[in-house]
Amino acid sequence: MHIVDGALSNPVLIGGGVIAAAGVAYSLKKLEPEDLPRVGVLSAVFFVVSLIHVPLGFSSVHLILNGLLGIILGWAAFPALVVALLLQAVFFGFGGLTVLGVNAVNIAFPAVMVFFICRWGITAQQQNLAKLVADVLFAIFFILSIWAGVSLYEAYQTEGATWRVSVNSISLALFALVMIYGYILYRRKTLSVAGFWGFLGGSLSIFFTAVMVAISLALSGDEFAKAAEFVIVAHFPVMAVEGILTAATIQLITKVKPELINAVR
Amino acid sequence: MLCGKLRFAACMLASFLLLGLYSNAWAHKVISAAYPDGNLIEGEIGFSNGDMAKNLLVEVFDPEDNKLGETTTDEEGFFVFTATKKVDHIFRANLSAGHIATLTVTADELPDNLEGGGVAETSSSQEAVSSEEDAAVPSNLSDTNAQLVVINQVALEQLVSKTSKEVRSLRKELAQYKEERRMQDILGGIGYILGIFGIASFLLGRFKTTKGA
Repeated sequence: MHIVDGALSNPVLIGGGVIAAAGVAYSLKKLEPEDLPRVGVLSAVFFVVSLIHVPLGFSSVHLILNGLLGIILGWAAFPALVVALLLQAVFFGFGGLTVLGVNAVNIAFPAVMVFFICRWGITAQQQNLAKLVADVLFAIFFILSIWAGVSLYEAYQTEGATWRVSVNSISLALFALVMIYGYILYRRKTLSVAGFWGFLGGSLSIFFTAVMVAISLALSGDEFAKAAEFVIVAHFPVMAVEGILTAATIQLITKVKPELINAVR
Repeated sequence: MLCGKLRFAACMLASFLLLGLYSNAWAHKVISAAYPDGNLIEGEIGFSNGDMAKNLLVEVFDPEDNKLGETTTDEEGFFVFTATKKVDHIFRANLSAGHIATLTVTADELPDNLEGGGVAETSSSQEAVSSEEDAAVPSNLSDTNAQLVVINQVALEQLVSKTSKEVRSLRKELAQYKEERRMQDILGGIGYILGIFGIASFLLGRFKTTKGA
């Protein structure tokens, strides 16, 4: 998720830096002083949650939770993520200082997108409309996972039956299973409408982030084009995990402290 | 009812974490190191979180991009390559998803007496002979003393090989120690974040109230 130093070309680095600075400036202009403690706490959450590693194979996975940040903070996700990413780069060597802008845009921009897509669904008064749109988004997700399955199948054809390809198809199948399970929970009213929107927000933000990481890799050179497609397919399992976590958090917040979601604009 | 569902959800999550999430897109730093020892080059490749690259293909090139050979890492991310030419060795391994490990062992780190090195071998053996002469001639030593020098050189080489092995394990430990994330780093990071937002809140508050007033 964090692109490392040296993987990107200079125009991409500069462009990312400029967009990130613009995002931070815009959000600071909108931000009220009394919202800042909340931004700081969620920034710290992002900083720490990336340390929760799950070792797998010769790699590992960590949580990102930019969907949750986006839903609660909106535009304020930009300063929160820039600060947290800067400290991650300094303390842990995640990413790097030159790629800070690109990483911030890759993670914060999807958060803001999710804010505009999902905030409406979580706070909607017209439950029926929110349900309908949730159904449509679910269908889109399903089509996406089918696309990922097809591209995996193509990788299978060209690369042969490597272990990596087969494990990725297992993770894709599990993702589809979790999606269907979340949908059933929502249909049976265990998951509220807001919770299901949270689920969609959590997974959508990871999907957008994966797409943006892939785009920034692909913009930097042809040699990464293949890696870029792999990044998207590889992120499907994280989408499921983050979806579940965001759904649980949002459902709890809407029950216990709904004003938290309505506070920052 | 709800409990059962939650348990099922937890099981799903756990099975994901165990089975599904094999992918290398979000490992952070690639750590790699190569240490020459005689004409053997030993190296290791892994990620900063301590996971090593298992059974990974490592290709070896010379500076002109001619392939010298290839090797694979073992279960602990170690690889061994036998150098046959006294040239710069460039090791490349693709860990996928934009992670590429590149290691360089320069020619002067390799011993002069490499076998099977074609031109490099003859020139290096000449060098070896001339260096022996250099050692013997200027001080005008007798034959026995010259022999002693040769024996001392052999002992010295053994000593160097032994020491480099010891240093190698130390370097490895040092690299691991550097990558380790300690509690004070995490707490310090959180402290910095809260401090930055505290100052920002103070400044923003002053700015916005003075503007409003």
